[in-house]
This record gives sequence, structure tokens and C-alpha cells, in this order.
Amino acid sequence: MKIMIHVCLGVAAAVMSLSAFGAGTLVPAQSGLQPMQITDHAVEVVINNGFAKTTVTQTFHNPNGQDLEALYAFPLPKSGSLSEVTATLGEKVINGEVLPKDKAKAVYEEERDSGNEAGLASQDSYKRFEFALSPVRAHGTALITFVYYQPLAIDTGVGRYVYPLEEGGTDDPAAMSFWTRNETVAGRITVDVELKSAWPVTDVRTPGFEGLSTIKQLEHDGHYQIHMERDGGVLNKDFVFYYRLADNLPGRVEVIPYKPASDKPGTFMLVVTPGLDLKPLDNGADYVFVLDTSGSMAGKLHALTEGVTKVLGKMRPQDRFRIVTFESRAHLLVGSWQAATAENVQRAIGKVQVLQASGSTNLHDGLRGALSNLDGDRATSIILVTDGVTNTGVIAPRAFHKLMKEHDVRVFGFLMGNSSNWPLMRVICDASGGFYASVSNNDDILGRILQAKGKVLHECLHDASLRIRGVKAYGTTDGYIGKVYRGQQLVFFGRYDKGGDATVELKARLTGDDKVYSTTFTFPTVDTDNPELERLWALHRVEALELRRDAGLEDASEVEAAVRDLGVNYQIVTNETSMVMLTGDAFARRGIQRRNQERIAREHKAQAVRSSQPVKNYRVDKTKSAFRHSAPSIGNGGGAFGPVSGLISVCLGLAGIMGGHRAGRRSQHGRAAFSRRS
Amino acid sequence: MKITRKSSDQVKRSLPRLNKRHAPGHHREEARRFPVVSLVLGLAVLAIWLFPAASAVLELDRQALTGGQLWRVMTCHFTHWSADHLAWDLTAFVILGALCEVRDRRGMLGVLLVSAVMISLGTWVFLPHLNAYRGLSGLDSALFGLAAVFLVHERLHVRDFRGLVLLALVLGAFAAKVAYEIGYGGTVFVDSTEATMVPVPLAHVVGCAVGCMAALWRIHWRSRRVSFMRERKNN
Repeated sequence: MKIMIHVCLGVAAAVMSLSAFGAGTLVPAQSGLQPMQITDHAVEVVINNGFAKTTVTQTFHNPNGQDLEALYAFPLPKSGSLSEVTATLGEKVINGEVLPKDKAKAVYEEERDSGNEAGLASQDSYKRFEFALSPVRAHGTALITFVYYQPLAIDTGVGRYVYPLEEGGTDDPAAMSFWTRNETVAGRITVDVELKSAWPVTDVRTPGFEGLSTIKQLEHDGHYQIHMERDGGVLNKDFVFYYRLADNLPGRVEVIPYKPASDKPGTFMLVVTPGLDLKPLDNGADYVFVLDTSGSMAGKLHALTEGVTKVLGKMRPQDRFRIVTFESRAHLLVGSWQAATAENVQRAIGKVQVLQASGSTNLHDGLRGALSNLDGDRATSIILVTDGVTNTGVIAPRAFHKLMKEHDVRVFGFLMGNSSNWPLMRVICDASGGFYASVSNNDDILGRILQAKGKVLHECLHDASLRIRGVKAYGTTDGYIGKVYRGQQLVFFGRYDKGGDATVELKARLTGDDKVYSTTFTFPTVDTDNPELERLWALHRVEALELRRDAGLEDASEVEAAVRDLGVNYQIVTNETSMVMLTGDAFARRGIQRRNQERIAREHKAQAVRSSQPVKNYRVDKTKSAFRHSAPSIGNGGGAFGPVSGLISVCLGLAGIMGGHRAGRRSQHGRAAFSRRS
Repeated sequence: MKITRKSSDQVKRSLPRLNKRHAPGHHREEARRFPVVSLVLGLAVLAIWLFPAASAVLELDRQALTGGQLWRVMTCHFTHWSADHLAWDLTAFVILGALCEVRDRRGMLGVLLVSAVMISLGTWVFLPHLNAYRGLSGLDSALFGLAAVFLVHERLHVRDFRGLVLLALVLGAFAAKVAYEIGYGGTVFVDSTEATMVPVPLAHVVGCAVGCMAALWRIHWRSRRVSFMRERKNN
């Protein structure tokens, strides 16, 4: 709620926050100063067993003749837990410790005003991380390194990692006018990705960066190194990295544990990749396309129209559709249900392709427009394409939750761009039993939509729930999952006290029958390979709590307190906690406990061990598989002729028939000649 | 070196039974033959598709094969993942099958048998991550190879160079398609609703190679028979 009010009150927000930009440095426009120059920008990504570690190193140069406070904004990566920040200011090195937000800010301001080296890393709701460093000396340089972790789920056999740089486009104009920004890198931009998958990888892609990237496959099938480098440039384009697992991998259960000692609580990441025989749905269905044409979508409208056009073109004649657009209010672009005949689809595509972005955003009105005139006899899905920034009409997430609960439809959301309001989209989709997917402008838009379409047009598991027996697991993600779609990977985090044998059960209903998929495995008493899991678990808890708060199921003040505790205990930057960066002496002087320093030391030690070893396979149902079928990837192998080869065959057939007649005539002559010779 | 000459009876015994089809110009008579095998097999493929449970026990499943269900080596080619997958595979099979069958039924059956085994073995050995395989296209490719070589031979025999150019275009297109599949088969995304499997270019390469080799062998075998017939007639 607070977030929404901030969006509405643009001028106030401009002064209070670093504003909504893509990656770049900022300086107040009225100050008459030049923004910090970005000398180099280097990114290192290690994707290892379902989660990614991203290390960003950036050098700033102060071109002004006076000391300056460096301000840097960076789009918030989805489920990214900012865990480590180190900065070098002149000869001083400062490191970060997470404190409650207000306290961290007060400490930073005191140190900055005293002329000491200090920094602050904070989170601005779902939009961005913001960094402040002081002082960057006149004509001097500063170097900042920050690290964040995020879980990566595989969808239909395809993994996707996004390094967000692109401007979200969700800014309010007043805020934008307050700052002068610089997103140009004078020196070199490099991105190094190391992919270590326990499962064989058949393909990796960096859409839009093919010419700049070198891809190297190492000895193991799942081990790749990708290097992208360019001299100079603008930090305005997301780096999207895809990797495709081998086809026909088994449906599986993987458990990655971390337990520092037998008497300390353990943490686990449970990844379920269902191998289910989900049949295609042949019945016709109704689809309502709900398209955001508000001003904030201006930079994304092309991607929207491209994606929607392709989806419309792939609908089946037995399907029906309507199209609703919305900005300050909803409009019926295609008001009544239309059968997806070629003619109707072409007419609709023509209307979609001339859409223009303008005005404010009334998402609630758009959804209400979509929910009118439903046909109770047919399954209805809503395809919602938006950046989720709603600022007119009803904006409270709980109102969206209530609206969706009142109707039997599923919402499939496509969230365009960085800084988009994914918490709101999550509330809407969760309430309806649908799902959402983020889409970058640099994404394989059609591929993302087709992935989703593959889910919508197959059977799915209903009323799915996950339960762990034998070992007391707690602090887990909500055990009730609801629907499980084709290709969907389920990622859970949880904690446990004592190791031992446990049984994990996924219960669900499929076409009216009860299904139970289970396997037995052992939680280790001690396992120190993956200490980062504690931070990932904490962030997962934070997101779960915030979802319940947004849906009106938890008291806001209690959630804030819980988030604050989690942030401080597990040293992650959240909406309630920030990371203050000081020298070691300053921390000692202020009596601030170095929790993050200890945690980072453990993580670095484990990472050094992991990097020297082959990737570990954490599958726990190898001997007794929980699933009978392969995990749906792109599918199974098959000899497919397809239309091209099929038509070539037809041509060959025609050539055979025509030639046969001609040859027959000629050979009659030949036979006659043969007879005469005889 | 002493060259021993076989008597005509000895030669006759060493070769399969001969009939008028083996004389030049036999296509007129053969073209009237009804392609019953192609149609029956095509109907069987359709029937299997209509009973999804049958596909499950007939597909090439790596685990089931290790468990001793060896029939899957042969039957997997007659199963399909989706209606789209089936449509072109079956169309091509009936056309190419008929084309081959009217010319050489035995040759066609032999090619189907050998290529079915070779394709399954190929996927087993060279595609260890492929747990399941379905589809007629490997056999289609084998029939394509068989038909193409037969047709080229016929055009050469009657010196029909325009026909040869047309055939060269068709063959070039097919080769380009297979090369494209090999080069770009690994797309990140495939429309999973319309193609629920990845194409296996290896099956096409193996099938086509088997078909071409079989056709060359059959032509060689026939030319020997024709020579023998002429020699006997002249004597």
C-alpha cells in the first residue's frame, strides 16, 4: 500500500528516493555537478545447482572538482538477496553489515557528515537496489563490489538467468526530472557466466549478445563458461542467458542441504521436477487478453504487441477470445466472444498493432472488464500483460485478491520489464491459481509465451500439497501449492533441527483421481557445502510473508517486524533492513557486531571448495524414483518429418508418377527396338 | 587364373526366382500393383495413434528395452507423440511407401526392416539422453532414399534429363532440410503444444543412408538378373 502511495505522490518520491532508473549513477539535476562516470562494469555469475551468485564490480570516477557522494541505482533482480557489498574509497576499504533500515541510514548519515568513509545499500520496494558512497574525492575513483544470490527454477527444461540493466520504464516524470543520470560505461563491460549443472545441458544462448559472447563447454556435459565483452556502452540492455537441459531427463526430487553442525539448525532447498503424464487438452477454451496501454508501457508496447500477435496467430479454431485494454479505465477492443478463426484473428491483430501507450494505469478496472460476460460452461483464462504499476482507481493488493477469489478463472500474467510490480502480479495470479512470468525486452518473447501456452493447454495437477514426514521440517514455504502446471519446477526452502530419514510426499488430484508421488531420503546431520542457502531461505520467508500481507492475510506491522528480524539475522537487504558500509574501526567504535563478515567468510570458504570440485548431483530419488515419467522438457525424442520434408516427399511422389508415365512410353519404344534387333 | 564358367542352371539356382518384372520397362506393369503393404502399415499407425495406451507399450523406452521388451526396437516407429507429429509422418509414409512398393515390394520391406533396427540402435548408442523415441520419419527417410535412387536410376535408364534435374532439386531440398536440422535442431524453445518432442536428425540420416544403400544393392541385383535373362534369351 505504502509503495502505491509513493508512486502516486511522484514529487515527494523524487526527493526521498533515488528514483526509478535502470542501472546508472545519479546526481541531483539542480546541483550543477557532473554525474559520476562509470569506468568499468564487470559481472561474474556462477549458476550452481539451482541458484546463482552474481558479483558486480564497478569503478566510478568523480569528474568534479569537489568531493561527492556517489549514488548508484540498480534494478532489483527477482528474488535477489543482496548479501555482500564492499567498496574501496581512496585507500580505505569499507564492508557492509545489515541493520534495521532506520538505524543503518542514521549510521551512514552520521559517518558521512563526519567526513568518514561510509556507504549504504538499501532496497526500494520491488524496484531497485540503491547504493550511496561517500566521499568520492574530487577527480578520484571509487570501486564497489556487490553480491546477490537468487534461486533459478527450470521451466520445461529451460533455465533462464537475467542480469537486469534495462530501465524499468515505470518512473514517474517528476522523479525523473529531479536527477541527472549517467548509465554510460567509458571503459569495458564484461559478463562472465559459469554454468555448473548436475544435469547435461544441450544448448546455451545469450539473445542479443551472440556476436559479443564466446561460449566454451568444459569437460562435463553441464559445465559451460560464457564470456561477453565490449568496449564502452550503455547499461540499458538486460543480459538474458538461457540454458536448455537435455531432453528426457527423469522426473526427480533434489534436496540441497546446509547444516553447519549437528547441534545447529539445518536449511534445505527442495526442488521437485515432476515427471507427469499430463495430456494435451483438446477442448476449446476462452481467453481474455488484458493489455496494459498506460504511459508506463511506452517502451514495452512493441514487445507486447509482438507477443500477443503471435499468440493470437497460434490459437485453435475451437478457442474463443476477447481483448480488453486499459489505462485510466478499461476499453473493450474485442468486446464479444470471437471464435479464433483466421479472419477474426487477423482482424484482432490489426487492432492490437495500432495500440498506443498513454495515460495512467487502472489495472483493477481492466480486470473487472475481463471478468464480465464470462461463459460458465467454458474454462476461461485471462492473459494479462502489464508492468503491474497501478496508480489509478483501486490499487490495494487485497482488493485484487478479493476480486480474483470471486471468479473461477485463471490469470496468467506477463510482467514486462524491470522494476515491474511483481508482488502485485503474484497476488493476482496466486489468488486465481494461475502463474506469472517476467519478460525482458531482450527476452525470447515468443518462447516465453509458448512456454506458458504449453502449460495452459495441458492437464495440470490440482490441489497439490507437499509434506515432509519423518524429520521435523519447519519454516517451509506454504505446503499448499494449488495447481502444478506442465513443466513447472517446484522450489521449496525449509529448516530442520535433526538429521535422519524423511519422506517427502507430493499429493494432488489429476483428472479426478488422487495421486501421491513420494520418495524417502536422509537429511544429513552435518553438511557445509552450501551456506548461502540460509540467506535464500530467509529471503523466501520474507517474500512469503509479504505476499500474505499484500493479500490481507497478515498484519502489516507483524510482517514488518518479522522481515526486520530475518534481514538482520541472515544479513540480507530487505524493505526493512539496509546494509551500512564502514571501515573495520568504525564498526568496532560503534559496537556493531560483524555478523555478515562471519557469514561471508563461511560462504567464500564453501565456494572455494565447490569451485575445485565437479558439480554435485543432489537427486535423492535415484534408487526409487518419485515419478514414473520423464520431466517434460521440450518433449521426447521423435522422428518428425514436418511440413517441409512432407512436401518434399509429395514432390518426389509426383516426380515418380510423372516420370513413370514418360519412362513407360520411352521404354515401349525401347522394347520395340529391342524386339526389332532380336 | 582359371576361370570357371557356371552353367545357366547353376546361375539360375543361385539367384531368386525371376519374372517379367525384371526386364527393362517393367514399371508399366508394376505401376498397376496396389500398394497394399503401405496402406496396411499406414492404417496400423493410425490405429495405434487412436489407442494411446498402445503407444506407451510400443514406443522406444530405454528402461523397458533394458528390461527385455525388445519388440520396441521395431514398433517405436509406428507410434507418435501428437496429431501434428503423426500427420506429416503418415502422409509421407503412404506416398513414399506406395512409390517404392509398386517398384519393389521386397526391397521396400527389407529397407523398413533394416532401417527400423538401425535407427533404434543409432538412437540407443548415440543419443544416450533420449529416453523415449517415437515416429515414422526415420522410416520415411529410408523410403525417401530408396525411392530417390530408384527414380534417378529410371531417369538415367531412359535418358530423361529434365526429370533428373527435377529429382536433383527435390533431393537437394531434402539434404538441405536434414543439414538444417543437424545444424539448428537445438532451438531453445519449441512450441511445446504443437511439437511435444525434439526432432532427431540422426534418424533421418541413418534411414536415408539405409534406403540409398538398399536401392543401389537392389539395382545391382536386378541388373545381374536382366543380364542373365538376356544371355539366356540370346542362347
